[in-house]
Amino acid sequence: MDIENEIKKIFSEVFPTMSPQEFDWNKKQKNYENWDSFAHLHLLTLVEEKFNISLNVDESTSIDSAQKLLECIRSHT
Amino acid sequence: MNIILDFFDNSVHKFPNKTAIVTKERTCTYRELAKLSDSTTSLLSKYPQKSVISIIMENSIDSVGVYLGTLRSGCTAHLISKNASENSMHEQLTSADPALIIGPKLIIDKIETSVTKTDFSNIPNATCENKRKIESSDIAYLIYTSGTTSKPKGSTVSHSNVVFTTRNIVDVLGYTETDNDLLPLPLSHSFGLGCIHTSFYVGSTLILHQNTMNPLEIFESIKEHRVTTFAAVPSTLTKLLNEYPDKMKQYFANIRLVITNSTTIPQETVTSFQQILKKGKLATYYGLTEASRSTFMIFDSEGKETSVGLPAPNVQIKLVDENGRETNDGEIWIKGPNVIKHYWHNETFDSSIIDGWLRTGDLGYLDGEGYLYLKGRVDDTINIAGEKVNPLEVERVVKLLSDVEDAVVIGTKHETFGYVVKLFVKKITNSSITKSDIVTHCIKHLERYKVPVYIEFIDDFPRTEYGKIKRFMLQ
Repeated sequence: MDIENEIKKIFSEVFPTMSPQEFDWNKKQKNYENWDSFAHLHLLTLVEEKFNISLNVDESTSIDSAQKLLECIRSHT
Repeated sequence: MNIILDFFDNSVHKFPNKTAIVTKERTCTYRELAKLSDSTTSLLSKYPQKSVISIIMENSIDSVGVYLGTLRSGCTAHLISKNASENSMHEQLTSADPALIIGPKLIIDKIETSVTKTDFSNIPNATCENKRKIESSDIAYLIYTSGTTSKPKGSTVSHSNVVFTTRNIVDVLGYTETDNDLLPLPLSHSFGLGCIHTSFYVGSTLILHQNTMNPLEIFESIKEHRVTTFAAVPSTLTKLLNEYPDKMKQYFANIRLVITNSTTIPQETVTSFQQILKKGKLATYYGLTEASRSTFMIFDSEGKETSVGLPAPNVQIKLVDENGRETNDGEIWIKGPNVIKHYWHNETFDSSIIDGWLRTGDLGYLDGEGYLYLKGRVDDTINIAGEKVNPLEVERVVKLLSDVEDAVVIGTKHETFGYVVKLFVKKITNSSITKSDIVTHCIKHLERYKVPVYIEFIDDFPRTEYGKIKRFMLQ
């Protein structure tokens, strides 16, 4: 599975108003207009489902960028 | 007309030799049905008036005869579905405390009780000369309801409730003695029972099916008996449309009325029936056992496909908010001659009837023209971090996915938000839809907090004997 592309896809699903050009691996949560608690939950839900992994509380709370999410997924696969 | 038997006797008098009921096994005329019911009245003459007689109802001529005979004896007919679970049967019998149980041998043999039991086929032929005086305020039947949300509660429906409601059904939906009414609904439920009352009121012919398990039998019956009206729950209508589109066009073209009930019907189903019923109409109603047929909706124009209609004649409906104020969007309250006076021996349930107003526990809203729309149940509302989520709204969005056969949403506890949305999905056969497909779809169509956080695929939902999903069992 192409993890990078899957993550980009998940971000485009959770943030549908964001254009592909706006995607940035290092863009932080605070710089997203709609990355609130619910968006965070849905990011985790989609990631767990697509990669068939289960993220613990520490991992879940540490994710604040696409890059962090990528590293987290890689540590599970 | 004051009691149920007044209109039944009227039809017996007017149409003695006309076929009253047709089943797969046999038919009977109005006169024969009256005679059959007389045998039960005779049997029950040894029991005091107003005794409770529990009847395990199946869709048969014998069941109908026993029901009518029980009414004529002045006893209360406690109607139980033959598909009731052992637990439900036990709870109902404990609460109803019947003097006698009547039903099919196969079922009553399995009931462990000290109460006397009688098999339908063991009721001796007899005539009852000693007619009892029955008042319109007497309880005609007792049906236990609300199996979807809690333990069963007994609704005590009086003769006057039934006479009023039946007259409304006939007036609004135009039933006449020329109708042939196809009925595959359980007679232990208010919808099915209301249909037999309607047939007997006008003196039409009832074509009684056991259920809707075999749709081909429905099509055969429509042709063989020149059916003019058909009653079924919305899910049956949708299923027939999806699985037999060509047969529906062929067999339903001459039906004058398809009547369904109590839940919002998918808009596509309404539109399809509007096209198929060339000479007829699709109609629905909203009601509860304790307030039968409180609204009627005839789908004869565009734009109100998701409504359950206007209040029935002489029935009042108001919507009340959390603070007890009248509003256009809130809990549905009903008042009228169709509303029961009290529940069966239960003061807690009785507290939901205030000055004749029944608090239904259903949520709805009224449009500018007074049409009622259903929004779910008061106690199903999910509070997510202070935001109120109506499960029906989420379910409707999920059901837009063609791979979803059915969906149910509940609230599940969450450390941060108090509650979040949990979704249960039954997929269609051979579907490859994934949880992420559903989440993605929901993100596009719902506000963020309404999107399901947890999704579970299940083979089927826990249901009541009438097919309603038991939400509380998914908690």
